[in-house]
Amino acid sequence: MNGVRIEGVRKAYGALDVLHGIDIDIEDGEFVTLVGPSGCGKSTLLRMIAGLETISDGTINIAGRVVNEVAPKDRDIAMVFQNYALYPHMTVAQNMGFSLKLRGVDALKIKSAVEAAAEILDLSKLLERYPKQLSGGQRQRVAMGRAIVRDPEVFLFDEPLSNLDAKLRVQMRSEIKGLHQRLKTTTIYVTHDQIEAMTMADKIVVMRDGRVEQVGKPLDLYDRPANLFVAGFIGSPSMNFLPATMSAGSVRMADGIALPAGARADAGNAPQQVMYGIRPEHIAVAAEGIPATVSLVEPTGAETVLSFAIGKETLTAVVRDRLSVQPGDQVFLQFQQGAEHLFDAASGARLA
Amino acid sequence: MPRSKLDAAARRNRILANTIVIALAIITLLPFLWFVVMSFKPADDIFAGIDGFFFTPTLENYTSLWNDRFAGSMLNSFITSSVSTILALVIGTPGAYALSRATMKQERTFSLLILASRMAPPVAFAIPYFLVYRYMGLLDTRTGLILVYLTFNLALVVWLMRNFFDATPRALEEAAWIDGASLWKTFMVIVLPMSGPALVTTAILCFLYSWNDFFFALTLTRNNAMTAPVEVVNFMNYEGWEWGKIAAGGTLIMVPVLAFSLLMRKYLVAGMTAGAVKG
Amino acid sequence: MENRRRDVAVNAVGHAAKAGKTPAFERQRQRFFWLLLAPVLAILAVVTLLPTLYLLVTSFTPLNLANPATAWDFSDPLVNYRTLLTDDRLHNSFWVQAKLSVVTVVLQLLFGLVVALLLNMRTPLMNALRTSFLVPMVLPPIVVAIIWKVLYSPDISPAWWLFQLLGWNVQTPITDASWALTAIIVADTWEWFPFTMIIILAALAMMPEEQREAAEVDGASIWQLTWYITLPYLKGTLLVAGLFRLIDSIKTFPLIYILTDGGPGSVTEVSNYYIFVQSFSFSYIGYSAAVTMVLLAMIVVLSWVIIRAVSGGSNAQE
Repeated sequence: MNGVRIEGVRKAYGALDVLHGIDIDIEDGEFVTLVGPSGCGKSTLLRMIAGLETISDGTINIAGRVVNEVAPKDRDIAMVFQNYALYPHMTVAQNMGFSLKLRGVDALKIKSAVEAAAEILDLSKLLERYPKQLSGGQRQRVAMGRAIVRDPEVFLFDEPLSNLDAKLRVQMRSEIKGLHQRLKTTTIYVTHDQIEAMTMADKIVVMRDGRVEQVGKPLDLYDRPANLFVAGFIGSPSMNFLPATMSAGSVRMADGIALPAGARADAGNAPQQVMYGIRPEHIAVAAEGIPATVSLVEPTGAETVLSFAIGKETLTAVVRDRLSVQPGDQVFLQFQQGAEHLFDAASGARLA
Repeated sequence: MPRSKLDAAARRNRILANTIVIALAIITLLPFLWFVVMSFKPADDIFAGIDGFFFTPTLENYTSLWNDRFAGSMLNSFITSSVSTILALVIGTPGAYALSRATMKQERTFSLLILASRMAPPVAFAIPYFLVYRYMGLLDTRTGLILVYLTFNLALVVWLMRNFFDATPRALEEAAWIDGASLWKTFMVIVLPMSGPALVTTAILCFLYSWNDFFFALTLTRNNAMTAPVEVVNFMNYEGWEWGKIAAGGTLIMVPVLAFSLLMRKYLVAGMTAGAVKG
Repeated sequence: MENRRRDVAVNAVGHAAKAGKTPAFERQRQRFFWLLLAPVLAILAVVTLLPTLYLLVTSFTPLNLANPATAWDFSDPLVNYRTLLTDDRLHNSFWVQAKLSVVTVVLQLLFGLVVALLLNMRTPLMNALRTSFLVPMVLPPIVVAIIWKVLYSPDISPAWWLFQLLGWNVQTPITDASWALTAIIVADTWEWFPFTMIIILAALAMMPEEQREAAEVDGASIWQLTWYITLPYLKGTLLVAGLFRLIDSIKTFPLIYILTDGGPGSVTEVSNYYIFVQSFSFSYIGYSAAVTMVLLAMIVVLSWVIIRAVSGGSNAQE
């Protein structure tokens, strides 16, 4: 098969395991993001795919070939580094053409390949400049240009946007996505920013502590997170969690407040400790429902972020209407039907 | 306290401090300036006591040096210092790179070795070198001096360049590997060209250390390979005490040193504490 | 092409790659690094390790250049080390060394600190003058020695003109047994206080502003600020700078060679100089080698202390 297949990959530094057996299938042409908090092993995994870190166990397969023993230059990959890693003593054109030059491609062909890539990335006017004469966004483009020129089997991105300011990040995000839609090259993209992951990926791999927590399409992860970690990690502001007990068809918080759980709580088993999850955008202020006290009102213009106290717990809601509530007000909350998530309190795994 | 009063006090302090610094600077520079001025004095005025305070500057001390063997010893100084510097750079830079990038267990041992070779009194090397050179006929040769200078230059290059490589991001090399460059090519085409400024700095430091050397030149040369520092001292021994020539010779020796070191004073400390402090 | 084929060949086994086996690229890298390192290690061994070994070997012989047969005479290997225990001139040289080292290090730390604290006010004038304080340190040591020879020579020294004007009859200190060492200490302090100064200045530049500002807000005077905030901050730096100067002071040579030649008598004869005299004036190479070994041992211990102090100091700062 084409694409990338990662099977049982482990990474150990001495006695310390940083990756505990990772399995990921990436199909040809797919855009996959590896996302997770820092230290989860996502960058290490990417560097193992690139051949910059050794593989302690398991195999990595690129385009139908096991590459464990293959040097980086022979893996047919291109990588965009976090700090761009542009060669400071080469012009933009030389940076972009370096790999072709090393492969012995003749100068004319290099020139046309570089110019074509520069065209795509809007770098044509900058080809004779040196990296230090470029802005952050331009450097980012050159780094991408260097990857494109090679026409590799796989693009690897290692947190490429983390050094850009917020506005430029959004812009580059859509540029990279546009580029992928155009080139259809298999892409593996590492980020710690879940919004980046959500907006760009065909498939997201959520990682934590050297393990894969969940693999899936962005909206699947949002709609059906496999466990508490993914539920809390995907979505912003993050999902509210309320500790509760589920028994005989109802879900109640410690102080007796009943939470709407519809059919999911019907399991007639013994009482079970659960985490009740509800996203901020699925909560509305209504005439009746769960009683709550407003503790904070943060208008952002388009929407308003509200914090409430329910019993001993706090809850965040995002509403689009401009409500005239004040901290201290008593209100009632309505949870959107069927939007709740139930997790086992002990294991964190999703229930039903 | 009212603002103006505070300002006045602060200003008084500044003026006081400035005055003290000026005085200290004069005290620091005076011995050195006196020496340079002396090199332009006619012989009579040097010994004329206070009467020689005003004098007509002359270049006679310098011209008499040129008729002497001094030019030859300057050439010796220059050749031994440069060749030793270049050798140390050529051999030491790749090693420094390897030391910076490889994961090795012997690292601590190595830094102790380098520190020790920088700390050892020259006499510890002078004795064995003297014995071996006597046997090999390397006494009083430039080759002999160049080899001895490697004892400290090589350690200096390895240390300084290693610190530099430690501070350069590895991502550039990794990018080059992925781009298809071999290890050797990456070193030559990516790593070395980026190291230009560091190489120049290190080269200057090596050159200065060799140029400033007195002890090895004193003990391992006699005539042919004698360097300028020893030659100047020789003006003190025979032919009487030719202070004018001594001052002129000394000035010539220190001019390149002063120029270079003040140009790169930022790196001076890094060189001097090589072996213990990461520059 | 060659490479590709080998990679494919390796691939067949690659599947069975298990933990602990280093992949080809990694092996290649390690081999490459050793290849780069080998020349340095080889040459460093030849130019520093071998001579040191030879020095050690020689220290077990009574080698005297006047009598070449003594070069490989190991009949009484410890003779030099026994002699060294009863050599009064050597013991005196250690004592002179101790006096010279301790006094110069203390003075250099003191002057370096004072000038650095002043210069740290960083007025435009000071920034302009800062470089001039470095001059003594960057001059070739031999030139420094000659400069002070001039200053200590009554017939050409400007100082003696002044004494003459004042009608004082001053002896030059370098031929006066009770002042010769002081003369050297003065010159050495002048030469090397810039070193401590520049290190302290560098440390001061890195001192977090907030510490000073917080104290200023608390109403500390400039003296209190210096005593309670700045000096404790500089403790590690002073220690390291002092240790460096201590080790380097053992190597003091040109000043003594030019100014006093170890005299009068042996009042300025430090160990390093004594070795020089024994080996290169008297040709007692075997004995000099033994003394050098002792000196080297002391320096290795001091270097070790420095490495400990430096790593300890940087830990404290983190």
